[in-house]
Amino acid sequence: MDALLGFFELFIAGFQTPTLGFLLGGMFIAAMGSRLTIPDQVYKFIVFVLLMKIGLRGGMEIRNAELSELLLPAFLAALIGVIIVYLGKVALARLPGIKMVDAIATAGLFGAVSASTFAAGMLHLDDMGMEYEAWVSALYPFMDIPALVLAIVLGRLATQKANKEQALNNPDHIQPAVRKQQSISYIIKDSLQGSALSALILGLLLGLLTKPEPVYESFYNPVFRGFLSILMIIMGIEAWQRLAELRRVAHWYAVYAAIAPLMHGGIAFGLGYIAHHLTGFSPGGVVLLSILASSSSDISGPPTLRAGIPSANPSAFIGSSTSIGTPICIAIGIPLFTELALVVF
Amino acid sequence: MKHKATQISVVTEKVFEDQILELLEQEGAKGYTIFEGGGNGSFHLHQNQHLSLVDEFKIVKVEVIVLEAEVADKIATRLMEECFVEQPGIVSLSEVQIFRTQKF
Repeated sequence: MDALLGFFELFIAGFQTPTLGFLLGGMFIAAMGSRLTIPDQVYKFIVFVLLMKIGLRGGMEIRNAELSELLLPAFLAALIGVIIVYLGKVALARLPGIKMVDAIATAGLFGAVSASTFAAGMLHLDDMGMEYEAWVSALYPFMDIPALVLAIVLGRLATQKANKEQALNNPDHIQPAVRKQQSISYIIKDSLQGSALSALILGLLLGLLTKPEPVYESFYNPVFRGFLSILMIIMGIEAWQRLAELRRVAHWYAVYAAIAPLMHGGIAFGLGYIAHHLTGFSPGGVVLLSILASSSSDISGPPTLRAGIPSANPSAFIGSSTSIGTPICIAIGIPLFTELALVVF
Repeated sequence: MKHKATQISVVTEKVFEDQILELLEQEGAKGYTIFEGGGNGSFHLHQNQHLSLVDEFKIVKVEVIVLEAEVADKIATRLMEECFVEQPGIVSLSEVQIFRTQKF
């Protein structure tokens, strides 16, 4: 009961933090039909600065860290990415009115990771004073890439099957010419070259190999909180605007998008808990692993999936992720997993 | 001094732009112009006026002019068969008049 009360207190306090409060503020002005816009370039710049900050700090701390401890959580991160995509494919595709390719693309996006949600999660843990390993930010690509690759491979198989069935039922159906297929190594390369992962890796390398402490202390660290608050307003506006698109597809997407973040986070929490007992993975690390699993990609994932599975409907996968998945993860997921860690550990 | 030529216009999403350009270059197009914009399609609203997190979903229109109608037909056929089986996109051909043949 105390735990439940604690969660509600956290949730109410969460409304007053710049993270959730500003997200809801963005949704509110979009709902009011405000013409306020924040340019694309600003959004991209903010995401870049946030990821550089996370990367730099990770890089600077990794210098003194025991990297062999990274192995098990990295393996778990990849495993969670794969589980989310399979689970989503099996669960969503059974629901009425949902096409297989759309189900796979949606599951892929929920398996991939959101930089902004991750940044919000790290800030929350810093505020709570919960410690986590320096290399936790390096787990990001381990979950992101396997989820996207698996979704694209499954999506391609589903498209081929659909084409074959169409050819059987209708002998006049012309088989489409085989389009240039993307190889798995191409998808991996493409994800690594995406804006989010490039910034994070650059930050990690600069933190590891150079001595960026002066710029980190004077610029990246102080602006982090403020920039994140602007990003949350943008995410709020975008979430509201995408709701209109989500209404045009099956309602089951909304149900999936509301439940999936918490379920995925729960699975990650369980696996992280095992890692805690086996290798001493810190409670803060377990929470961040859960937040990674709970989040769904918002910048780098959608274009990769769109190019990889062109027949999937973007209104379905972007609508469910941006307008419902991300707000649920930030509003409920982050305080829930933090509170759970305080109770369990 | 006016000459007949064919203009191929391709409307698609920015994510697919590279494939189109690669194909045009293979077919020996000497140049092309790309316009960015928004619009409304069969299942996806492309928001132009207000913020969209993902730049790659913007609509692009690629225009290329070739002198010979057969070349234009070949490019259009290849585009339809290789690029637009699963992907959304519109290819159209129109007759235009140009002035400097050496440019095309």
